[in-house]
Amino acid sequence: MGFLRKTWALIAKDLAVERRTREALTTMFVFSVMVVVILNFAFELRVENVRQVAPGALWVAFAFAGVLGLNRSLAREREDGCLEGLMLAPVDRTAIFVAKAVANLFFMLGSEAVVLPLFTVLFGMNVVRADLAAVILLGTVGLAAVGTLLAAMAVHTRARDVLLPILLLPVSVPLLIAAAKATGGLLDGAGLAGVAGWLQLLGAFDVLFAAVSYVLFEYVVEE
Amino acid sequence: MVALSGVDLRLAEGDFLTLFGPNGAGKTTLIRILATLMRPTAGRVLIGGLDVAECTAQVRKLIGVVSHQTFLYRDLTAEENLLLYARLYDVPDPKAEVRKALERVALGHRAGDPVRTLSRGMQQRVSIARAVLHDPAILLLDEPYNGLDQHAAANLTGILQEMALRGRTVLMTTHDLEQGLALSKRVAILSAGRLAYEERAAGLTAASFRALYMDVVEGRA
Repeated sequence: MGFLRKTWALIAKDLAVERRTREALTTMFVFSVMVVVILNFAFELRVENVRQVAPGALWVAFAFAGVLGLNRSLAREREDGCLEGLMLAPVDRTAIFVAKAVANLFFMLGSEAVVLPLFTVLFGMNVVRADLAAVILLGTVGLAAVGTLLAAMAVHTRARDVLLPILLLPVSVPLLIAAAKATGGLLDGAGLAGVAGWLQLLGAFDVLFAAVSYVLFEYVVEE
Repeated sequence: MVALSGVDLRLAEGDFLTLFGPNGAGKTTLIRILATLMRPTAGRVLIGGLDVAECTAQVRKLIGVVSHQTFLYRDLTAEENLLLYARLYDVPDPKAEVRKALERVALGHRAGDPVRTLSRGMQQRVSIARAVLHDPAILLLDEPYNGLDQHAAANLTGILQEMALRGRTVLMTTHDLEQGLALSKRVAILSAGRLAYEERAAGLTAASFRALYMDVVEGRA
């Protein structure tokens, strides 16, 4: 019970800080919009190729925007030694990880929710759909879990802004491929049953990434 | 590089020990080890009879730490910061305790202000309120007077004296020989990672201690 109460207190803290600053959400949203707009023009989209490039474009925008949000989220903990303050408290390190990952998941999903309607307009295909929401949720859970762990590693280094994408993107390639394939299948009208294999793979990556990050987080933040 | 070597230090309940030493002597490293933020490569640390390496969570409930850094979120108010820590430390009736803690550091009127709008001295006072919020048995302070104005310094001195009167154990590092000597029951000097001197403060004058400190630090004693 104490674990859940403390985890919620930490999540509420992150939400309160973000509500006040809007740093992570604004950064992620602006970056996602720029990526979507640039890719839209770069591919000179026509009806015949839009279905091929849309899934990749969507997940490129989500992944890179997520990197920015994760960096900002952990950098905030570094200012004034806030992470050390949490480490001093009698709170399980896994509670700190779960809280941070859940807060990051909220921020990433929030940013994605705003980008989706814009993507629909620019790419001329409806991505504001319940079946697609399931894929986006599964993909983002994995990114938030492993991204929180790697951002916690990167935040202690001088090259943290560069290090996180270098660490995160290779690790999350299988997850991003599965997410893009599932998205593509749904946009092609395969339905959830048609992309069940990709969804299962996404679920497996989520469990794996969350479990590994949950176990390793303590060792990453301890000195 | 060896930061600390052969440091054997015992503090009884109610002790107030001030640790002096030049920059790089290992004072902060010692505080960080006692605060469970660092693990020593050798040796043992017992706090309240509990081995820090084995009973870390229990030890964390016993200690309060004031450091160079405030451990406060700039975009949260003073009250929100303290409420967060009160919940993490399982403080009963957190709202009332937070109000009391802020009054104790004379910042009740700024409870609703974001920390970033407070002066450095005020932020340090909120940090002190955070450290004593859960009424720790042991207070670790790493150069707590740095950056404090006179009012804030007097406020901190008052809190430390009150803690000492209530039988709390205090370990403080400082460069201010007079202030450290005046507050503490015992003094110690850390030099090049070694505990070079330890003595009761009573009977030591500021002048004699200053001369002794210089001798120890410069290797003449």
